[in-house]
Amino acid sequence: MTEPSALLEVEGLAKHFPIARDVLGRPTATVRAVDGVSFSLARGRTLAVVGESGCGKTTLSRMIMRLIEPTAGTIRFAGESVETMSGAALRAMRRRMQIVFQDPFSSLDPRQTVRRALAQPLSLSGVSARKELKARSEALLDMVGLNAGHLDRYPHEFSGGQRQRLCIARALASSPELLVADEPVSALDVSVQAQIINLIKDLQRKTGIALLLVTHDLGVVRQMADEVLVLYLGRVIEYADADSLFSTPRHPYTRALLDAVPSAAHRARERVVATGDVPSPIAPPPGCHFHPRCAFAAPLCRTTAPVLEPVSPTQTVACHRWREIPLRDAPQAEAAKSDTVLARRLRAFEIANRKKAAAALG
Amino acid sequence: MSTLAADNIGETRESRFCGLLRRTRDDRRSLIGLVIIIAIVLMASVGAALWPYDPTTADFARTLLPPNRLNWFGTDELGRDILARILVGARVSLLVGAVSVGVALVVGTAIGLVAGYVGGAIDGVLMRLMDVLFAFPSILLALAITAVLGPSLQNAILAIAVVYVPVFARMARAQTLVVREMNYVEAMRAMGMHEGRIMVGTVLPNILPPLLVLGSLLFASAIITESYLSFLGLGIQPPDPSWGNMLKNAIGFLGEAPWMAWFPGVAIFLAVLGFNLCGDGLRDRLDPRDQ
Repeated sequence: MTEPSALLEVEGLAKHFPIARDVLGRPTATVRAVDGVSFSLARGRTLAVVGESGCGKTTLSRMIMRLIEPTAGTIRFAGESVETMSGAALRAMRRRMQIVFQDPFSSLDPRQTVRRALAQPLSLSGVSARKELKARSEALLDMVGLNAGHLDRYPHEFSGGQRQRLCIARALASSPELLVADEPVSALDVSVQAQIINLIKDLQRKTGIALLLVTHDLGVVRQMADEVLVLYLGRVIEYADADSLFSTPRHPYTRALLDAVPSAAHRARERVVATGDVPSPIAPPPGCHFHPRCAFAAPLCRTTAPVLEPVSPTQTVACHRWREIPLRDAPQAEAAKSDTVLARRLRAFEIANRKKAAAALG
Repeated sequence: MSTLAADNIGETRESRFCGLLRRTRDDRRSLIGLVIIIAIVLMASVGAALWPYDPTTADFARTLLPPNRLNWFGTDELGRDILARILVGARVSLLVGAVSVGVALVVGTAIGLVAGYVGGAIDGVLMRLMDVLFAFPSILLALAITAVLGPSLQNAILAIAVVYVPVFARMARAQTLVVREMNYVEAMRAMGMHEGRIMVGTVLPNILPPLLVLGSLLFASAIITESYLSFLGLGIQPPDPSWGNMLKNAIGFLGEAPWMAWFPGVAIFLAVLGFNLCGDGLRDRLDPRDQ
């Protein structure tokens, strides 16, 4: 998976939040929100980071831009070390990677018109002439399916989906090479989700931007990701290309996630279910973090943390027992992957798009 | 998506200021407040120039007169015209309110913004300082300051400003703590914007509306505080009038000349009412959602 021309290389990244301190201010308890995560992402590719809430997805996405300071690990972006940068160099680097947040309602300054919101990143990347600012802003709005008439409006005049389009436009203003999308559609209606996903896919096709997609929605992952990183309590438990992961998930947790996707074809199948809740990240279980919820747990799992080992050239898994766990049967996996409401809407949307394109050509 | 807002493209937008005026006219509450404030300002400027009596000239032939045809609000124990003194005293009250609240707003907001945004040790030091100021009862603190610096109008204004700085600082800090966590602030940082610019350009405008409202409310209490200080002899010095020292004077004559207390009291009441009404209205008006 590690391509030589990787745009983003992350090595052993960790963030420990102290949650209690003793009298002298030394941390006595920490949450290991992200614990030794490594991956790489090539230009133009999409990496999805998935996991339940509280597994460290958001912390991970913020650390890459240094919006949260990592406790340990290295981040290399286009060959340069991000974790040691400061001041102007860091600010310049941030312009080359941009972020779209989950909540479009708090992502836009309520006192800024669209014109000003777009002018800021543009002028920070060196566009200053009035005419050019206007032309570039209009081009950006056009790119995300809005138009010049929206320039003098305030954020509250837009719907959630429109605001997310604005956030994407703002993120693209500095022509970044990497877009970090932190749950970009979770706050939106299902119908709007499909539009935004299509928009992001479209933009990626046009601009060749790399995408780091943080999500818990496997339908979205299926539609967009080239590679998938599965996190559980801050650790990577499976890292594979999307096809391998969806056809032959190796980790019992990945299996449980995939089996939890509701599907009409599920009835007859034996499902892998993760019982109970995610354990407290303050005192995670020893050994493999997943063992208390795992149907395949053995004594070894309770004492020793598994490390990532390669299953195939495109798949690695952190599980002691992956060889012994039977694979799920392919046809059911096929059905599960595409039977979400979102997937159906996306298909409908794509068909409509194709028809529109054909009509435009004819 | 192409149909999204074709409806509104040709719309012309009125300027923010005109919008503010129009909405003020449409809201009866802030309209009344505004009328009262304008009336007081006119009184203090034009009225004082037109009214024939001098506020400091004594006339021992006409002491303690009730309101009559010549002295509409009556006269005090030295035969000075009360209306003339109220008109001139309005200047003092407005000056004290505007300057002390203005200074406290600027200084307090700056302290609260920096403390809340930067955090850490700077936050600790600044806010403990504010707590020290806050721990004193405000009147006592103002008294102490004027007592140390000597009684004069400037020192009274300074004392009131010092009393209000922690009030603004606390609110500015609380607002900053909220705004600083907003995604749009993080987005600015991700954009590669300088922290100082984020603080002044993005956080400040978003914390300002409640502070302006607080300012308009404190304007009213600054006038009252000045009257306390004058009442205790620490504000403006006799024979110059302020609403506060007129009230103080009146105390000795409540039985024989109650009008000496009525009119400055009513003046203070009206000024406070005016600014409170305006402050209330301002809060609603400053929300972009209202435009």
